[in-house]
Amino acid sequence: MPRFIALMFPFVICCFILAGCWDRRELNELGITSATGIDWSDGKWRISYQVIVPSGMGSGDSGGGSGSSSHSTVHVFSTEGSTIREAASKSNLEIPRQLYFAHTDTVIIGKKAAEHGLSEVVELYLRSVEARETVMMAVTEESASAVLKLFVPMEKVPGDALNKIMLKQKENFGYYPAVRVVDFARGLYSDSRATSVPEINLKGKRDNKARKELSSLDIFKKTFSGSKLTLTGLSVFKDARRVGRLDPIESFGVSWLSDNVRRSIVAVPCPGDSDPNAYSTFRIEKVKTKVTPQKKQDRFQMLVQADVRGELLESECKLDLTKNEGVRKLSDSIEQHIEGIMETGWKAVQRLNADLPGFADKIHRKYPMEWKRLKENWSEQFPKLAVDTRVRVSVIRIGLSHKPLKQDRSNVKG
Amino acid sequence: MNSRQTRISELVVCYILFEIGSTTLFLMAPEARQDAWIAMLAAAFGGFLLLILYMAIYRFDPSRDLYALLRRYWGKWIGSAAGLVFTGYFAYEASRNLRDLGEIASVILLQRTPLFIILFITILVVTNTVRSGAPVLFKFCLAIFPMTLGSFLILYLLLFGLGEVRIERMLPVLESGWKPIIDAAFPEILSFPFGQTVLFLVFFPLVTNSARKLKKSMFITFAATALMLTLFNQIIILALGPGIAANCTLPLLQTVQLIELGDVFERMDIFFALILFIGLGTKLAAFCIGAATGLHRLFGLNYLFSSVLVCAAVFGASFLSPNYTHHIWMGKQVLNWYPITQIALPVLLYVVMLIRGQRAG
Amino acid sequence: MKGLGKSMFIELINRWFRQPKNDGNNGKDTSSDSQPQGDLLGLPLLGAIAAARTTMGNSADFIVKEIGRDYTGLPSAAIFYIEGLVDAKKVSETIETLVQVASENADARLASEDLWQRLRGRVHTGGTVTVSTNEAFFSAVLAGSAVVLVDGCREAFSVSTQGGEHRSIEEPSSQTVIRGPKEGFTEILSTNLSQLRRRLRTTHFRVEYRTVGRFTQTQVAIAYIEGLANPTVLTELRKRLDAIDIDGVLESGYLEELIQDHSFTPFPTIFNTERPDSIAGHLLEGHCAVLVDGTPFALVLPVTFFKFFLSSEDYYQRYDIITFIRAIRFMSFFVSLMLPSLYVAVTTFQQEMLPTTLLISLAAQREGVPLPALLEALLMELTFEVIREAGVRMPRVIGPAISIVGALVLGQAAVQAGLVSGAMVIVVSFTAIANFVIPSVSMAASVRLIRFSLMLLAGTFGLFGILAGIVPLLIHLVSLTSFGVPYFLPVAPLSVQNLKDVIVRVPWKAMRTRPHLISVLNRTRQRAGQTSRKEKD
Repeated sequence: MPRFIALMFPFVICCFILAGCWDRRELNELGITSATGIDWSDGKWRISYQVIVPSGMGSGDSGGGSGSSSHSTVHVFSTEGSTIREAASKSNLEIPRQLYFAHTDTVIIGKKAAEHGLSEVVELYLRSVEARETVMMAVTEESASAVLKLFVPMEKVPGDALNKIMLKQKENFGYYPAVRVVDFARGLYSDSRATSVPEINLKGKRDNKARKELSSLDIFKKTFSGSKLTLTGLSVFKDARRVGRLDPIESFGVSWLSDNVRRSIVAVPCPGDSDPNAYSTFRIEKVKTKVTPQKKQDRFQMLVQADVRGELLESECKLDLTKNEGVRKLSDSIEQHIEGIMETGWKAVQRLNADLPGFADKIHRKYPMEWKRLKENWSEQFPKLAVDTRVRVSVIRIGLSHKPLKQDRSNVKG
Repeated sequence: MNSRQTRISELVVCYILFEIGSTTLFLMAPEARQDAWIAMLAAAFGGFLLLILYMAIYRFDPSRDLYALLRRYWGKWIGSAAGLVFTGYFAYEASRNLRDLGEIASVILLQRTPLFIILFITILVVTNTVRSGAPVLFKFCLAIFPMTLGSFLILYLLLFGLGEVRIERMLPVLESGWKPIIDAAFPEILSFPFGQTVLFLVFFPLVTNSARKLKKSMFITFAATALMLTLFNQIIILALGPGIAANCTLPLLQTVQLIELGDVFERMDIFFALILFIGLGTKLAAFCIGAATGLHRLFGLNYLFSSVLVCAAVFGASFLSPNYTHHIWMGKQVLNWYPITQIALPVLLYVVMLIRGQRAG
Repeated sequence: MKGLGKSMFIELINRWFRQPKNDGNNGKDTSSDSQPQGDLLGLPLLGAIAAARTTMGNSADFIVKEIGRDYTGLPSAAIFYIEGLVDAKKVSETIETLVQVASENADARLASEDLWQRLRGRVHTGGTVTVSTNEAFFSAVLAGSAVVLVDGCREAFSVSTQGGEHRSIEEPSSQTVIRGPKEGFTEILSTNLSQLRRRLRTTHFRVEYRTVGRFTQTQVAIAYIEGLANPTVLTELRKRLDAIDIDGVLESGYLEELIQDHSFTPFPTIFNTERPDSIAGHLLEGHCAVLVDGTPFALVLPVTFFKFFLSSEDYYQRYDIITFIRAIRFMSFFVSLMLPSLYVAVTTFQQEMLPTTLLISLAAQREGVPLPALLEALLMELTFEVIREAGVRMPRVIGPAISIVGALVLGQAAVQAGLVSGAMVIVVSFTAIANFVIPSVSMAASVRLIRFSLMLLAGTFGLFGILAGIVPLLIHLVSLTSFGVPYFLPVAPLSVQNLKDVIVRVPWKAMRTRPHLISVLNRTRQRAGQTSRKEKD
């Protein structure tokens, strides 16, 4: 008897297979989206998709062989709807493939959508299985669909390129944080309720002709481009709504306060030098910022201690760096400079009344009892905080030269 | 030595997979937020007491499994009735596990395939496992254990290495006081997962090594498992933040989605879903074996027949809830009944065993 | 009518699985249709000669030579042998001796028994055995001995003159090694046993003979080392061999199927090899070997799953490289089992798991390919199996040319024509190559089969389907036994001592005990505390 069942088994299996497989998606039915754009106007969401065109990627053969000369690598579609998902499903009316979001790298958010509020967007990403929360976010002043249509030179897929730009920038430059949807969501749940998202805009020539050029494959045949997509600032959000903007230096300061700086470069004016154009460039290699709340009577003060180590890259200062004194002067001036940046960032955050550095969480963690009192009117308490910045800079290496060339040559006559 | 005999290592490994199986799926003690670890340790302590009870029962009469014990010390009729209660309990737990597995598969892997088909395939595989008997299940656990545990460890290492876990989210400790912790720990965490150990009363007599060694191994394993579960649970909270974590239906998978190593290791949650299935499947098979053994011992049915019967019943029962919300709700309701089988009945059994005096033979 | 059909169906299944039948004779068929009739040993010599010729059907190669004439002019003795089976030199020597003795005693009127004794005493070419029954007479002749019958004697004696043309010892064709002996078994049982004897010069090395097969009377030898082999296994083995009742056994594969524990499994539970050093190594570990006359492939039992991934060369090379190679073998096993299914599952169902760039390039390749991934995979796999079978049957002259044609041209042309995607060709080729890495052909064959069902599951349910296929497979593997030894030892049940020879091969210093459960008697291989040469200085 068991043998009979065992023999029947293959037939049963065949029935399963013949009945149809529900979940099968062939690769050439997928419209792989590399970037999504979210715009909002008058109660309607407008979603744009930058869909990859595989045959334009130049790696398939099947007789063609010549590569990507004819096809663009991506194509942008836009649809509208009263909710985001409704807009996405309207894409079925015009796109021949099924949209596939699992490989989306970037989501660009138009300014109006940002001001309307992004809680719906974040909710969507958290609830959906297919959409990853590790997608990088960026805000743009114009409409997201316009940004999606532009190429980034040197990369075939713009969505991927933008993702890389933001990641690299965070690692090496530190001005703006790299914000993924999950980081944004964490910020919403935190006590400070404030988050920030980098802004990306078109710099250079912004007329139609320039845009058209950047939208076609011809840009890859040129050696330069008059306009390019660049990170230009930081959008500040409170409770998922955009409330303002920080310029680069301000957001650099905020990065310092939030311990978001990894490696960076600062150009520091020379100490005690009459020449206003004499600068030194210092590369920061390792930073650790610690923010500790301190109680002073019934006010709070945030003690910001930054420990910076780095290397001198170039210098025009009249300092003899082989001597301890010279190095100390240099590090002092760098410390002052960084403290100044932090002050700038702090003032900007005060002005916007947005707790970007996350002071609320720190107070909550260290003084939970007091936090219970402060919680209700945090928005008044926050600007009243005092910030005490202490930076300690160690110049580890000074490069291959001792004295700056300018100084050295001035000692040589003739 | 033939392959029908079980050794301690096999039983212990099955226990580990059993506990990790479906526990890591859900977030334990979401109300306690960042103090969830305290809640888990508290519940683990309770579970430890339960384990002492179960081990005492075992030590007293090592050669009899749960059903034989019930019949011997409670008489044929009451013993069989109690045995039937346990069988039903095991079968119900199994059907919940089956439904969980089907839901996850449906959400993560096969969105459009009907739930019926997924459950059917699963139950076919489980029936095959069950009919081979408990020793084979244990060996299977042993074979699959390195890979499963290794995957979990790699996952957590990656999470730490990539900086997703922020220890400072553990503070402030005991922010909301003890009440939410105690509320979460008892009866919820105690029953699931620690109270389900009662199933192993059916399996202990299968071990051929010494009873004392088994006792020692079980205690050590329990401690290790409890620590692991606490750690795993806490890492989820630390990685996602207590707010998001409490809101997720499948927080582990959400956490795994955060891993992005190079370009290659993205979306590991699919791979993890498969690992979870192994754990869930182990639990499912173990419960089904428990129930099938019950039918076999109590009513003298052929083991093959009773395993098919149990699996069919489990399959049918998994359709009790029309949707996911109802399934979760029912789980919470049923928690109130679990202490009966997990605590009350074993305590009664032990008391009667002591009263009836030395066991014969 | 329905009952009739059902019973026919059951009969079909029974015959398909070829279980040995159980008569009253405990399986032994003593029916006379395969053995000679009539007792010629009681007849006078000429009558016996005629009867022998008739029984052999007047075969042309059945030679009878009359020896000596007694005073009545009738032959006093006769020698019977089969031409092709005997060593001509030995036979002629024997005949010379016999003739000499007969002529010496021509005048003296010896009693038949005396003549018999003298003849037997003078023959030195080989061992002599008394033949007292009809069956024994013909068995001896058919086995290649020469039987001498003396007129008037009830018994005859056989002289061991086995010989005949056979293949000489050459390098084994199927299991080649780079370092190690290059001798392989041949088809002659005695030669094979001698090769073993040369390696195991101990009195503990035991050989037991059995005969199986009604028409073939194949000689089968059980070889083991007394004191190392597991007595339970030996008893079971003897029992199973004795229970075999079959027409003929031509190859050890017949035996393998007939004595194995489980018939309904794709995995081999008995290991086979044609290398004497491999057999010797296994005997030293406590396994038992079965050698079959007529085939160079000998059986080793009991074995575990992991044995099929080891080769004898593993012990001749250094342990670090061997550990690496073993890891590659296991990896190849997984690859050849699961790679096509994984490819189909991931590209069709769970595309999220692929890195974006890989996904895009795969998608680009699939533009214009007409078949869905599952059918494409099945098609390519089947094509490859066809090519592989063709390669085996091809005459050696055309072989290489056609394999180049098959592999390159077919694959390349198919991709160019847009019938299959390039990635699929790579997957299939790599799978096939990985299959060849598995040292044991039987294990590799089982993988080839299972691969297809996994592919079907993968094509229907994606990764979930693969899991649903792997789990029952693993359950099956774990529940198999090989003569009582669990198949998945040392992983499950866990035996930490034995793990040192599974993937990792620990240096010889550390391999001090024999595999547990295989040998239960003498566990120590080396004395503990053996120091290396360096320390002695």
